[in-house]
Amino acid sequence: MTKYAFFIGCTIPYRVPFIETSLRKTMPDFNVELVDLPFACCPDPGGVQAFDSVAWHTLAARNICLAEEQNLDILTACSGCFETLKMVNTHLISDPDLKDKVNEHLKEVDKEFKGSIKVDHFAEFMYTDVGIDKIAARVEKPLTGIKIASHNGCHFLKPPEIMQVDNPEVPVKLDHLIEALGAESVPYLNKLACCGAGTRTTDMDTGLKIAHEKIVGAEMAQADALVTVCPTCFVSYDTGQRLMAKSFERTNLPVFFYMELLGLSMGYDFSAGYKMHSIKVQSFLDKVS
Amino acid sequence: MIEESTEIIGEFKELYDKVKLCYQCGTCAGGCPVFKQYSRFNPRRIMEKLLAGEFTKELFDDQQIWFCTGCYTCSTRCPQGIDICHVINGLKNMAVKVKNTPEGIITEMTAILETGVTAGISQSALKRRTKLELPEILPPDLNEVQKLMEVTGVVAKLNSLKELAEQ
Repeated sequence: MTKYAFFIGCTIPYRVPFIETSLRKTMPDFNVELVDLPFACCPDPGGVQAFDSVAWHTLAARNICLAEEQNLDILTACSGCFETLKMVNTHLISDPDLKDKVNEHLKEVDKEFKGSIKVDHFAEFMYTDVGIDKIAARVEKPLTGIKIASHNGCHFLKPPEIMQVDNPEVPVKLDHLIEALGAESVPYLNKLACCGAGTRTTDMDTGLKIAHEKIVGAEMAQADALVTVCPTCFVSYDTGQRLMAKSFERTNLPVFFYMELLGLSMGYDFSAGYKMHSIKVQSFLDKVS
Repeated sequence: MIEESTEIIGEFKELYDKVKLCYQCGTCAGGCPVFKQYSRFNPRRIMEKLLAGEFTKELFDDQQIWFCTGCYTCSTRCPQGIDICHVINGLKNMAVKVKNTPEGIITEMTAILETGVTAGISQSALKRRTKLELPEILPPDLNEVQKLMEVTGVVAKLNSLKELAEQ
């Protein structure tokens, strides 16, 4: 087993804890031991960075210090946390002036950023460190005949020079991860579009319009479900479809976090978690079995 | 001109240095998911204003810059390699200094200051966690978070924004 500092973030444990279940259940099967540490908010790459860039760097560096103290690399399942932690880690390692400034603040809490650990995202870890073949070998209930609209989201891929995960204009890794489970990842309109969460804080209507366009694209491609690797994108589409129904024709496209779908194909019973989705997933589950 | 400190004007100049390669091709607006739905938010126009040295209040009016969703599509596609998203983020930092901050951002910053996380620990969330047999969440060291928010000036900015809201 390889140990990783499990950066759980805010959205997963408090808003969509069933995503946490899917991670805690499946990761040991891939020789990963998740170590919980008392992390604070990453903090949010949207709101907090916008409020004060130096404070954002400092608060993120404090979290990184907690993992450095344990000599553990960070593994996160939230793309927002991934962007913040990887970006700050990269900035501080490459910019000595900024590092000094941040460390000056961290001295107040007896911490020092060293730059000794790496930050990774579950989806990237599954693709690169575990590998498609090993994932496919664990599949007991292949999702044959199921069509999936894959949603990479923004922070997982961009800015590409920092995230270094996939081609931001033609990403393929998530599609391969989905196809490893026996499902088909279908091309669809607006596949690369943002979920709109960053705008919802300022204007709910515009944020929901952005999200709605993607649901329409996925439905036109006759996808059975939309799959994300980001809990915020998950909320934008799952809870979001309920909110969209006030302005648009009601849609009922099931939404899954990738690890939920992986667990399903591995034979795990996540039914308690499925019941907590805003959009009912029973029709999807019927198609699978 | 914004009647604020020379510090702000200095920051505008820094941003101008970042955008001066812009030749107004509009690729940023063309790929912007927000512009597509809400044309009053136009990243090309924001670059144009910066290029023209229009360091005016208008740049912050109607909370236009706050519509940026932070997706980095513009930054990824800019043929001149300008990190437009980063530039807009710089404008947001400055907007906070001139007291233009959306309510949602103030709420989020306050939540982090009070609890260390953005999503409050509600009873319903705890109930769901129990049902899913999930372990207890390790609480962050709130003293450290608050201390850092104090020394980086976040607390002072939040207080002045709240005072403004009460007036």
